[in-house]
Amino acid sequence: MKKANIEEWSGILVYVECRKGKVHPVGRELIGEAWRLAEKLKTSVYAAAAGARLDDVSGQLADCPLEQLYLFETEDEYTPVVYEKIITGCIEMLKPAIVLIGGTHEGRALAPRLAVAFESGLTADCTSLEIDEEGNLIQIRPAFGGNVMASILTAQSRPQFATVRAGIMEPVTAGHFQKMAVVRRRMNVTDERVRILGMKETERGDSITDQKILVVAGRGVRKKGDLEMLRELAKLLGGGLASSRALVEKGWMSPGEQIGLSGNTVSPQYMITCGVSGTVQFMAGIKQTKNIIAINTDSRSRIFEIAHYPVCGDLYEIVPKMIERLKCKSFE
Amino acid sequence: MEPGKHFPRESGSSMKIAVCMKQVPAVSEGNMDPKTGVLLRAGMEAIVNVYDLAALEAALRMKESIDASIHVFTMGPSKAESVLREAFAMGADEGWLICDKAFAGADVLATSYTLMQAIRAVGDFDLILCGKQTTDGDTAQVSGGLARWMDIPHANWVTEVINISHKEINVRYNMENSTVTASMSLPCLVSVEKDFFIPRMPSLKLKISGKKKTVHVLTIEDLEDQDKKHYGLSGSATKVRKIFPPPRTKHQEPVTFDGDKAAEYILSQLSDVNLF
Amino acid sequence: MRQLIYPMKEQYEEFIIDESKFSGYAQSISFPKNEEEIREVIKELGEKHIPITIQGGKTGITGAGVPEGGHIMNLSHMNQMKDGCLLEGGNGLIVVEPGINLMDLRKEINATFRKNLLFWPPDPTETSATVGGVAASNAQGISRLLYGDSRDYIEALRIIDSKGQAHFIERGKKFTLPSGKSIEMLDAVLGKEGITGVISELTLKLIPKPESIWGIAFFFEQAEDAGKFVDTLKRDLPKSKNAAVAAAEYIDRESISLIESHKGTMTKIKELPNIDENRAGMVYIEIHGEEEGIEELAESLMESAIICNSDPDEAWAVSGETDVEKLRAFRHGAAETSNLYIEKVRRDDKRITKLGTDMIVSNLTFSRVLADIQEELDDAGLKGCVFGHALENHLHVNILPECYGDYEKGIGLIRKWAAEVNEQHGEIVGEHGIGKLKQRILGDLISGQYIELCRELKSEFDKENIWNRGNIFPEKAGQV
Repeated sequence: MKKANIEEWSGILVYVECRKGKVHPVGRELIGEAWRLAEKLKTSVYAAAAGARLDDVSGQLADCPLEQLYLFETEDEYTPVVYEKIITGCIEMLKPAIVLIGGTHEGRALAPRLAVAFESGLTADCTSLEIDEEGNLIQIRPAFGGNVMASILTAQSRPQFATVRAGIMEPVTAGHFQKMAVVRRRMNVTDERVRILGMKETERGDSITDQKILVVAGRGVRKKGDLEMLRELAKLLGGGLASSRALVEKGWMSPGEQIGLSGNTVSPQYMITCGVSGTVQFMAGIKQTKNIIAINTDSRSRIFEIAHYPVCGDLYEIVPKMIERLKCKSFE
Repeated sequence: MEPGKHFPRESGSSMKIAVCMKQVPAVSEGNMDPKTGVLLRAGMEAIVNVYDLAALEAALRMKESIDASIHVFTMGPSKAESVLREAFAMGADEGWLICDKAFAGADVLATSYTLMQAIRAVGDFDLILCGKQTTDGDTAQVSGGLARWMDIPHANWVTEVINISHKEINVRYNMENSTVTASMSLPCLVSVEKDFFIPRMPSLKLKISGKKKTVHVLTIEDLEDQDKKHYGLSGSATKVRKIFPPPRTKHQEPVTFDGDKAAEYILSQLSDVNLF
Repeated sequence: MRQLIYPMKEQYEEFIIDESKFSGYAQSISFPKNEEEIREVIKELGEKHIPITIQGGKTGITGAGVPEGGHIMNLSHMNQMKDGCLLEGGNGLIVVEPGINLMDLRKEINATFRKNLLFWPPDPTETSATVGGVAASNAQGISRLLYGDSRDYIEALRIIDSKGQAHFIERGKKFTLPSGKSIEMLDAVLGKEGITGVISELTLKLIPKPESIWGIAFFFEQAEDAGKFVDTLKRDLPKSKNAAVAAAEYIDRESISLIESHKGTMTKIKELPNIDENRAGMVYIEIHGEEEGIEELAESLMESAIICNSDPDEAWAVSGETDVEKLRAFRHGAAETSNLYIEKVRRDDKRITKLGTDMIVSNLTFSRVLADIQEELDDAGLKGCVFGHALENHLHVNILPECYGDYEKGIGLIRKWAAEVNEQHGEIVGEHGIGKLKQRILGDLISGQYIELCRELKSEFDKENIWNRGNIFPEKAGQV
């Protein structure tokens, strides 16, 4: 751990990840958060991007509250070692007190290398950030599988590194900011130890255990055909459809889609159960789900004991209305 | 052990692979005393981090196609020895327990530094393998930090080792929307994705013979840097200010709404989902 | 007055069937949360003489918790741990409500006894079963071999009779029946499948956890070799000063294939590697005790296995609760997937139910029992899974009928076996209970002495005949 001269370090640097010239959405989220923190510290926000094809980047960030945007052009499409060298140089020049990096695949490979390069602290996957009375960054994240929260400080080293996953922070909203200065540099940085041989676009994973949002069909679903409506809801929400054992028993859903003790254990961000009563066996498969919304006509259903948002109602009335609302919004 | 290299590389010898493995509490549901915020670890079983088993599996598979010796490193208290015993039961060759009071309380920075010192003290390794993350701590950053301390390139969350030779390794890994194949020259570090390296079951024969193997212990005196200030809590750059229970939704009485109002209510709960 | 009794509606469909897939019917259902509510329900139903079927986790495999008319009293909402204490000498006691399942029981015990680690030895592999159900059906588990009968770990219980009166029954209290037979009062309840009243509370005996546990799976290319291996162990079970073999379970090829076909959706076991197709059977052994003693036993077992052509490099060996749980889940998979098979076949014919045996034959070698079973299945042209407690010759043969014809043939075969086992003075009902299903399939073959005892208990403790009609002896429920 290297003790830094705290006064020498100020400002917040956001690493902006780009792929094929497009800024990753987490960039705007981190800039938004950086701005919020910067107001408390009365300091500036900088952004840095590295890679080939950066022509459009300044346009995509034109409305951001950045003092300066650094664009480091390299030959190499992303490799941690090359980007590390570039960003290290940027940090040495700017001496930001805080560096925020998106918790993407790229970011999570880059961040620890940078933190070690400066022998400073890194907290990964922060769920919120604050500033304490002394102007230090308070880094908050879950630990032990999400059952406790930890509040962490990097008191003596600089910069204070933090990674944040996409979808956690509020992105920058349009506002009247001073025009940012764009600094473009061609970097002749390579590393022969690493060669990218190929890059192929891929489809996202489909299994119910991969989904962040799950709609779950239970015994309350009366006919096999009614599952179509639930499937549509799941699709509109950007998630998947799963079921309790009852419907798998009936042959309406496949065993791979079953949740429960003799099926899959899932832990999506959101789960909407429709007509699921909540047997012990079912609930054993959903313990780590963060938000359970349960729809059932029986107010004494077992599932209401663990649902975060228990809704006593008829899925046949509620689901069509949800679909209607979602479809309307998408046309606004 | 004399500080310095125990197994310096000789040319033409078998490949030396280091695998970093950690012992963690079995139950990810941390039991916490809500009044004091202290974690109640008593009675919790200690097991090998499942992600690290995948790293060991990756090493064992490589050993099937290339002459290699697998050294497992684990940093922890003396009971972490069971990690090495389990590794022997799967086929690891040597086990190193990095154990010293000075190492306790380390964050990502100090942990990766300690691992680097320990690995260097034992020898020149061609390849270092790590699991993607741990079930306690969960930060997935030690592997990258270790690679930087050792000044070697690294690839994280590798799903396949396409080819391995004495000079280089070809790997495949998934980024958010793409699959990448890359080639890295050795020495380098690779962290692996759990689901692509399903660990083999320990064999009875190896489990029994593994009980008789010697576990080597590395204390601070075996390392080149013996300055306690660089390790453990003092060597850490981050400190935990406090631990507190997560915001838990209290048990709610079921709300009764008609179709449309219920739909509105539910959709409003999906606040951070990009619905539109 | 609050409503405790609910008329049966479509939403309660799941409560008229248990894991055996034996299905019934009922007029009403209740979910009492405590003794007071139980009493209220009994009173209200008693006025109309409506019989009651007691239900726990619905994991039973003989239909004992399935109603045939009348009312269902489902106790799954009575699932709290009420008290726990450490005893001098290191054992412990815990008082629980009957609806607590084995998973939650384990959690409560771990949370209550943080420094002195204790456990409740009865370990049926179906962990969502309730303690009340285990007590009522005399369910055992794979470690009965070492720790003994489940009943030895139930110290006391509270039972509520047909008048709503609660009785506290402690171990040691004896009772003389009109016939002159003297029994432990506890045995008027334990294993009697609810015919004498509803259990509202249990006091369980806990003992210290073993310092260490190993789970070892040996694989055999020939079933005969697996048989030989078990015979060897039976003749000469390796012993050590501070460790012992706690369980020895046989799992045949048919079971293994069935488990592997479902593995993808079974979280605990989906990462276990697939077993070589050429393996005809496996023996899963658990050793409990101190590490040193366990090693000794493991080496001895390994030697015996080698002699029986099992490759020790291939044998799986894990230690610690978490990893042993995976192998236990695999063993449980044998039962679970044969139940899933029945579920599938029932979609085409609802008359089909589980056809599992529960017979114990002590005076034959395991090899002989195994060979006979396989031969008779082949002769009858039936498919079946064979798995169970190898050292006690207590195998569960689950016939897998492809059509109703097979189902009928299967019943015939099971009856033939039961008759043979009776001749050998074995037991035809080992640990699953009789319930309604076994009553129908094997009723006339079950020990007359036992049936008589049960009838006597019934007439002594349930004069109004409201509790669990149809269990053990034939009697349709329905309103009187």
